Amino acid sequence: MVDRDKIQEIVNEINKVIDDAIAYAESSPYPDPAEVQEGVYA
Amino acid sequence: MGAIVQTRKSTKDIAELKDQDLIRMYYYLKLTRQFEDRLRVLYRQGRFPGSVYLSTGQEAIPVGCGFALEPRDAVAPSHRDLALHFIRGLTPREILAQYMGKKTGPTRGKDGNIHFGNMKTNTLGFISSMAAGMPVALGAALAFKMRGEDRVAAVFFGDGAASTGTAHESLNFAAVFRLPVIFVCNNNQYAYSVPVEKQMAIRDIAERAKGYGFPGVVVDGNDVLAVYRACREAVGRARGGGGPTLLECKTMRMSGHGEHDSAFYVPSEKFAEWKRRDPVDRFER
Amino acid sequence: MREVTYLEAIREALWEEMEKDDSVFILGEDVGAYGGAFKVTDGLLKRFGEWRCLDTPLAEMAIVGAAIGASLMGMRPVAEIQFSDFMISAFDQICNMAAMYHYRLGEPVPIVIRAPFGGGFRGGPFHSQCAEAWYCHMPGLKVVAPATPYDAKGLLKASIRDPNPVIYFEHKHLYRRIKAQIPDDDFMVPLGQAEVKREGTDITIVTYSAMLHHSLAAAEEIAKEGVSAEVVDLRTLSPLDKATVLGSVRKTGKALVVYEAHKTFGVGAEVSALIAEEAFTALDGPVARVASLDTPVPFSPPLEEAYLPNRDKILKALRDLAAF
Repeated sequence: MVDRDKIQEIVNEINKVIDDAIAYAESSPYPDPAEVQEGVYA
Repeated sequence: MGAIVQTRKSTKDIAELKDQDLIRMYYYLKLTRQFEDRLRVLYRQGRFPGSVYLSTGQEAIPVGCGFALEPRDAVAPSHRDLALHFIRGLTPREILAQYMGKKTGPTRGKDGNIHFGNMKTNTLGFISSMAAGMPVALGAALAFKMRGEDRVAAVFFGDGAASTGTAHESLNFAAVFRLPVIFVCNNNQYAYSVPVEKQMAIRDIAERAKGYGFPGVVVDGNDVLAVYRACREAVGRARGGGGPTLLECKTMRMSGHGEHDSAFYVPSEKFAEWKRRDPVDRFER
Repeated sequence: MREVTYLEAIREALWEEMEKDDSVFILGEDVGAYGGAFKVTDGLLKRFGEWRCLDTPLAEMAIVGAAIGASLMGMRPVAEIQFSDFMISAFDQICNMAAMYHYRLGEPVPIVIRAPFGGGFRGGPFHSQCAEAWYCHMPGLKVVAPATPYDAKGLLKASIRDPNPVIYFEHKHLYRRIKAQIPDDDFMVPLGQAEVKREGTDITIVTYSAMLHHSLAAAEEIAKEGVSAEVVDLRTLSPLDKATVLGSVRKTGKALVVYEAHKTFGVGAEVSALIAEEAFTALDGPVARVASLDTPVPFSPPLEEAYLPNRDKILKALRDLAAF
C-alpha cells in the first residue's frame, strides 16, 4: 500500500510541522499579567 | 501546515477502512510519536515550564477510537490521548503553545500540558483528578439521549482511574439509563509507580462490566485496527440503543508517569517485551 | 400577589423555568416518583416526564458530573443533592471540574446544585451542616442562600439562567415555616445583590438564610431599648455584594455578623475581614460575630440549642455592641 519512500515522506512532513510548531510557540507572547483574573465567571 | 493535517472526515458507518484512512491512521500514530519525542527533548532542555505526560506506546488507542467515532460524538480524553486531539483538529502549534504557557495556546496560559477541551470539536476538558471525565461524559450522553440525538460519548481513562469510586458511580449510572457511552480503559500496567497487580485482584478490568450489566471487551491496545474494530462495534451498539461498553485496551506505558519520573520501578525486560509490540512499528509492518 | 411557603416558591421557580425552557431538567435522588425528600419536586415528574425529573442512582459524584456534561452539551441541569452534607461526596466534580472549567477552557458550565442545609430540626451531625464557606472559597462558583419566599423563587430563576455553576443552599428549617406574599409575574432576583431587609441607624447586622429571621426578631426587640439596627441580607454569598455591606457599616459605624455555620473560617469571618479592611475608619467598635460553635452539629435538643445562634444570643451581642 505504501512503500519506504512514502513513509519517509510522511516522517519528513511531520518533522516540518513540528519545527513550525516549535518556532510558532516559542515566538508567541505570554499572556499579559492583567489577564490573570479574566474568565473566572462566564 | 501539511495538507494531511486536518480534522478527519466521516467514515460513515462502514467497517472497512479505505487505503486513504489507513494512511491517515498511520499519519496520526506517527505524528503523535514524533511530536511527543520532541516534547521529551524540549522538556529536558528546559524549554517550557511545568510537566509533561506522554502517551508513548499507547498511541493506537486514541487513534483507533478516534477513527471509530464521528466528529459529532463527544470525547473525554485522558492525559495519554494526545492523538485524539490531533484527530479532532487541534494543531501542533496550539499544543506547543499550551505547553509553553503562551497566550496562543487553547487555554491562553490558564492551564498547562494536555488540559484542553473545546465544545466546537465536542472535546470535554481533561482534569488531573483521575476518572473525573467519566461522569461528565455520561452527562453528555444523557443530553444526547434526552434529545433523541444520534450521538455517543467516549471517555478515556487508565487502570489507576478504574480504582476510584467515581469510576464505579459512572459505570453504574450509565448502565441504569443505558446511555450511549463507550468507556475506554487504557490498561497501561502502571498507575504512576504502582503495578496493576496491586491495583486490582482480577486480571481484566473489562470483567467488571458484567457486574454493571453491559458488555466488557478486552482488546490488544497496541493494535490500532483491533482497537478501531472493537470501538466501532461499541459505538454501533451505543447508537442502536444498546447502552454502554467497557473497552479495555491492554497496553504499556513506555515511559515514566511524567517525564520527571525515570520509571526505575519497571523491570527492563518488561519494557523490552512491550517494545517488540510497539503500535507504530506494528502498523508500519 | 398570593401567599406561598418558601418550599412552594422553590418549586414554582423550577416549574416555571422548565415550562419556559426545554433544556432545564432536574436530576437527583428521589426527585421523581417520591417528589424529593422534602417534596420540593413533587408533581414535576407527572408534568414533565421521567427524563426531565430524573431519579438517579445514589451517586453524588455521578449526579454532579452528569449535570456538568449535560450542561456542556447545551442543557440547563438542576441537580438536587438530598442534604448538603452529602455534597461532600461530589466535591471533586464541583471544585476541580465545574468551578474551574470556564477559567481554564472558556466554556460555560450552567448548572445549579440545589442543596437543603442548616439545622434546628434535630437532624444531627449529618443532616444539619452549613458548609457554604467551602464552596464560597472556590473561585468560579456562585453561592446563594435565600431567606424568604420571594428571594427563594427569584434567586433560583436567576441561578438557572446564569451561565455559571451555582450552589443554591435552601434552608430546610424554612421550607414550611416561612410564608409570604409574592407577585404572580415572572420576576427574578439578580445574583450578587444583598438587600437591606430592615433599615436602621446604630448597628448593622449582616446575615443570610435562616439567621435573617432571628436577626430581624432581635432587631425588633432591641428597638424597644432605643437601639436602631439595620439588617443586611446577603442573599448571594459569592460573589459577595461588598458595596451594600460597606455602605451600611459606614452609615451605622458598628457591625454584627450573624451566621449559622461554625464560627471559625466561616462566611462571617470573610465579611468581618472585609469590613475591617475597607471600612476601618468608619467603625465605632469591634466587628462582632454570632455563629454556631466549632463542633459537629449535635443531636439532642438542649445541645443543639446551645450550638445554634438564636434571637437571644443575637440580642446579647447587639446590647454589648450598642454599649461599646
